[in-house]
Amino acid sequence: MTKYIMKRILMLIPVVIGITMFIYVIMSLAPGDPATLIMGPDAKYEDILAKRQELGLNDPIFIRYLKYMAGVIRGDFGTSWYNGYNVMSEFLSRLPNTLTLGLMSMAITIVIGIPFGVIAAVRQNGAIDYCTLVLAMLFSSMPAFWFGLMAQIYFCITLGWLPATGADTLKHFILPSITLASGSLAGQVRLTRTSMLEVNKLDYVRTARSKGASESRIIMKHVLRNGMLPVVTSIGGHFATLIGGAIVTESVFAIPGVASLMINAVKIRDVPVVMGIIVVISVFVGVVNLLVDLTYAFIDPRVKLDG
Amino acid sequence: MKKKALLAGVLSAMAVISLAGCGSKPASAPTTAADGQTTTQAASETQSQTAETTSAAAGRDSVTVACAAEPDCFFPFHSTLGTNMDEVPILHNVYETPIKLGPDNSHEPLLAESWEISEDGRSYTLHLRDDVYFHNGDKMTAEDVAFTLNSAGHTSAGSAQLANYDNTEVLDDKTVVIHLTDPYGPFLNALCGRFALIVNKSLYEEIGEDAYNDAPVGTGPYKFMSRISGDRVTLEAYDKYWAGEPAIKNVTFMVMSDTNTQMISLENGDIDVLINANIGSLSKLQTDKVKWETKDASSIDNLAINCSKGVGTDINFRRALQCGINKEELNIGVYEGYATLGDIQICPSFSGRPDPGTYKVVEYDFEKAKEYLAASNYNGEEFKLVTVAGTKDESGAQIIQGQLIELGINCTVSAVDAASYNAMTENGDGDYGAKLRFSGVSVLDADGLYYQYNSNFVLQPGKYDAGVCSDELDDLLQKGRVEVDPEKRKEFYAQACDLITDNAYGVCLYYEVNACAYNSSLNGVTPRALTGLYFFNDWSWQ
Repeated sequence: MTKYIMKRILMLIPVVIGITMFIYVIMSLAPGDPATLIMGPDAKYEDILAKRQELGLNDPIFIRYLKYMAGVIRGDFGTSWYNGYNVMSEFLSRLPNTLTLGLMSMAITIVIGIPFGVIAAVRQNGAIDYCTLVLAMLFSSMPAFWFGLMAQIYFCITLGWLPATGADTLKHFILPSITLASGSLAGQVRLTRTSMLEVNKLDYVRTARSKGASESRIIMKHVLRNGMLPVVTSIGGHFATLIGGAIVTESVFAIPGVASLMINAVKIRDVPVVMGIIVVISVFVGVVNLLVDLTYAFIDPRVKLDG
Repeated sequence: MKKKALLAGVLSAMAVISLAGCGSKPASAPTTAADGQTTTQAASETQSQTAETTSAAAGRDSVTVACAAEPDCFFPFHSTLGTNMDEVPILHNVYETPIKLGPDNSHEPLLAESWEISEDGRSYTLHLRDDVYFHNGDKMTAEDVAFTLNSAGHTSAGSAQLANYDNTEVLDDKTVVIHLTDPYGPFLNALCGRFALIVNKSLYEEIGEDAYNDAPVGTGPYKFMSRISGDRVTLEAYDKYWAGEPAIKNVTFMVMSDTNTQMISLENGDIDVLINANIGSLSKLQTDKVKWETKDASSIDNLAINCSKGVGTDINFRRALQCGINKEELNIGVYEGYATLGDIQICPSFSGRPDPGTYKVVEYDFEKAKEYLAASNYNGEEFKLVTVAGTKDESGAQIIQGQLIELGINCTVSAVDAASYNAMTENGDGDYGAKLRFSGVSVLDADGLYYQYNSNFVLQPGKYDAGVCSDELDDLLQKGRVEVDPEKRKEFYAQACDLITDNAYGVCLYYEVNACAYNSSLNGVTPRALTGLYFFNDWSWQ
């Protein structure tokens, strides 16, 4: 197991290098000169040239990339080209908000999605099955910006129960988390249901039934555990795509998170900020995937994680 | 059957729940027509509700202000970093300029009690107040003013605002003399801008620019307390402020990028003031807890034609555009009719703007536009209009596209991000027919034309030459810049505008609008021409 984990961690290195190089090249080749943007419309040509020199934009892309990665290895993610703030400090100051939002939305997805998926599978083609699927589809069909807005109007203005914006307390995260979770809820319910139905048809489940085991024991002990493998995979994937999915939610609920930092940095070609976020997120996604694989072995003893 | 009934019931219930937030009172149309003046709006006036909001405001001494973009640069003349308009409200409340721009763009004393201008217009003597202290307790002296201007006046952006600036000389603790290389007509206006915000010389020399940016210290009515990245900036009233402690003790400046969220927060009372508000959303507000005002901004929307390449080289084609664009339609489509239509690229409130009737104006005339188009060499080729995606300019470009297609021009719109826009139009090879993006100025004066048409600036190396410069125009803009007699300046600018109109270098569409919405119990909130310029110490709760 240790050997496997070490191997996977080492495999992260080329993955991170590949991702960062790809993003760096795209950012560098995108139209628009960052020096011109930084210096503003009234800047003189010689000042723009000096800025290009200062930012190292006159070096070849590969040299710039190597210099950047050398800094990253030393733990120096640089400073924003626009406001001079330390990239890692900015990222870390916003990370708790994004993590809180992501974890709460994932918790909602799991707590609601998995039980309803199981119930729908157990009561296949019954009223509960149909209702669950219809409700899940309805939530996932509503765009996040609209769902969030309606929730704000109803729960914040009409009822006055929850705050509409901000990230000061956990209460502020309730509506954003539900909004973010609503999109992935349908997928979770359907995946759980399908997985459960597939496992339910397998020989060992039939054997358990023929031995006279109770239905609840069959579902909880035999079907659910084995049906969880694809579900765990999807949860890992959901977490990985958290940053992208949170952009709209963060914007609607005015949450200062990583997603909004990232999107603003991309717009203004703030390479150090974009790269810093990409590096951390790619490592983060790699670690989450590793944890997902380790969870496989815990859930299903047949899975061997040998080197 | 039972299942179907159950399904139908569930669906109906969900539809009701999901649409619960959609209910609203019927919308009412704006009651005041746009006339270029400050316009105040309130959705309705119900006495009981107004009384309710007034009593709720009693005893309050804090204000929450929201804005779409994050202010993140707090050193007024940062020489190494980008500066933009988002931090203007913070800067002008933490720091102060020698002279203040009044609501009508008049010059009011601030740090300078009085001033004199030499006859040749090359020297400005400022007599400073003797009772001004920085937030760290240091007394402000002439040394601080000289240091600030000598530093800011020679930065890249600073030299654009403080044009012709040479140096500042300290006569005594209360007096400085500013020397210019040549006269600069709107120099008093320039002394009201961000590059004249006074910083503490000794503190700067002790901690440096970056640390100063992290914890700014000025002489303004508010002390900078904290910044939470992407979330808020907090200010606190300065108890030793020379003009007396402000009525509003705490100001929280929140970042709220989504327009709908801004409106909900405004209605909900989570925010008290929304600056740079979206007029389309404001006009649909259904609460008397909120008032809103508009004012002509200091930025102009001009359709700038590429006169060097393609069909734009044909003056008849350009004149067809001049006559063929219906600005009234644009105004309604983009600004709900609240903008002032443009005739020349000088805002109505700017100094140096020629008086109406002294310059040529081209009116909308569809038939005349058709005649010009017929007389041109246009053969149905693509006319590409470049703009910035997701902005009001994109909406404007789409309306113009429709109008030009109706005229018989194969107009396409290319909406790109700001960086790509710059690359295509400023530094590229001229692969566009016309460009549409607002252009702002930091000095509210006709001299803004200099940065649009003077070859010294426009034709710098690496920049695309769109064919809008000429010796005659250079000469007029230079004369307008160095002339100090206001009437003579107007004459030069009238001639320059005529030259631009005659050559149909572009179509001036409208002057942008600054809109501000605020809690109806809050007094003193007034939008000004310079985007984001608000003085929080003018505000108070009823």
